Amino acid sequence: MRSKTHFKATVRFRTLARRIVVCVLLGWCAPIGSSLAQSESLDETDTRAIMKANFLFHFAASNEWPTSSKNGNFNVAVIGSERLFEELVDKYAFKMVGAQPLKIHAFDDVESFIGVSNMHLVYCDPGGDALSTLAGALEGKPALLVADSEGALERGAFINFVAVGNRIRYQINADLAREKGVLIGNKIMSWAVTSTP
Amino acid sequence: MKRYQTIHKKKAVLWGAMVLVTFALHAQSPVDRASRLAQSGSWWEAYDVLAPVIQSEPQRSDARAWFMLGFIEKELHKSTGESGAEAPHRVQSVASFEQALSMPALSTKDRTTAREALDFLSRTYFREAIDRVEGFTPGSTAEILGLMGQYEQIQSILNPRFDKSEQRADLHRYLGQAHAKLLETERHAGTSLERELFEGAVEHYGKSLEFEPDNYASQYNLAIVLYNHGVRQLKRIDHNTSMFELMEIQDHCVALFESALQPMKQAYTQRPERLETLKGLMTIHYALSQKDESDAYRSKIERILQKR
Repeated sequence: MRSKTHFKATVRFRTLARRIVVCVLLGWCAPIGSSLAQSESLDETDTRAIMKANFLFHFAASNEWPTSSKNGNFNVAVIGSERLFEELVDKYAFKMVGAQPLKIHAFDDVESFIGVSNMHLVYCDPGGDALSTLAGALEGKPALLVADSEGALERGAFINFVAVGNRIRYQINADLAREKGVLIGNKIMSWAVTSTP
Repeated sequence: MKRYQTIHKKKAVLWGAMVLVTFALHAQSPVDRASRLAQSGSWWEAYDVLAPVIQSEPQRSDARAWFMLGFIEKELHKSTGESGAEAPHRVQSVASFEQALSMPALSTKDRTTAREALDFLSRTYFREAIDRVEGFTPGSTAEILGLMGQYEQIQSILNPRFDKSEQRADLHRYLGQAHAKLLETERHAGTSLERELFEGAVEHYGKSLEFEPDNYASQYNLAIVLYNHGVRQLKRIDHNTSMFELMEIQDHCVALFESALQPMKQAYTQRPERLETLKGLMTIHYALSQKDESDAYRSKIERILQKR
């Protein structure tokens, strides 16, 4: 009696156990593999654009602009950087610079910008001759030219973004700014890596 | 009258048979009675017969009693739907089977069955651990690791050469992903939970790499978690951010980007032609203002895409 009972229970258990093992091997492994084995996805946000946009906002807000520039919108032009333009529009458009709402304008290249007036701050992504051409076009206008290219100060930019220790910092040509009647604020000066006093 | 006598006689026989059956049942050992009840699917009754006497002799020294109790507890575990590392019937079932297996008197047949049952129980722990990772909630890590620990402990008993490295590496990688997934939701932005989730993700990917140092997915995912956390901080910069705060955020983010570079490079070493890794390196170098390096990886991506 004892052995018969045990035998039946054992057979039933073994059959069940085999089924379960098969289920484990076939069924359970699949969802684990499919739902959890995915890779993380890279955030493709333009990190440098975020930083530069905030710097530009501070350049706009923390300098003293000539009285003649304190009417209407505070206009910022972005040449050759769609992602920077988008970042500025997203976070800073119509924020106040003193009593002026910030307005952002995009231009594909320097050529399309030539002839545009009433800009307070002009960011130019291309360097080289294009930057020199732009600096020439802005001569005599109270617009602060900001660049992100090697030797940009020599080509007529007032502020140039540079990489220092894997970070974005900036150089300033304060003399040039003063000539245009823009007084660079202490806050901006203090964070500059190099500047002409 | 005769008919009445016949009925009366039949009743007496029936009563007699019942008394004999009752006597026979009582004469059986608790193991036999539990076995009969178990056979008919009366698990609770079987449990009530065997559990109270298992620590008393002769059951205590009877390998088959422990085997039977393990079997009954296993069925109760299944029928009650209990869960967790400390689920009592499962814990007791495992302990009973282990006790039975430790006794030389256990028959070869029962020994085989007990090992199969233990294997089944260990996999229920494993499956439960994975289920909890899939439905991960903050604070459930200890329970998940507890379940996995039970699985590993049983597997080690069944196979002393059991190597847990691969599955541990997988589990920690899944936990890393679970933490990272919650990080993506904005509702934790800026909270202490966000920091805990980030640290949890980094810790689990790190542990996964301790078990399998060359695991591509863990290296790549660790790099992404570090990098994305930096980007997340940057995205919170707005017009209210002061210059001082901006510089502080930048320092913090650069440190994260620099940390992301090493695991991404290790992942690249293993799969140099994989686009996602090249894109990762291009992006991290760009974020670190390392234009030449970023451009070099961009060129590699373009060359690979041209070949396709």
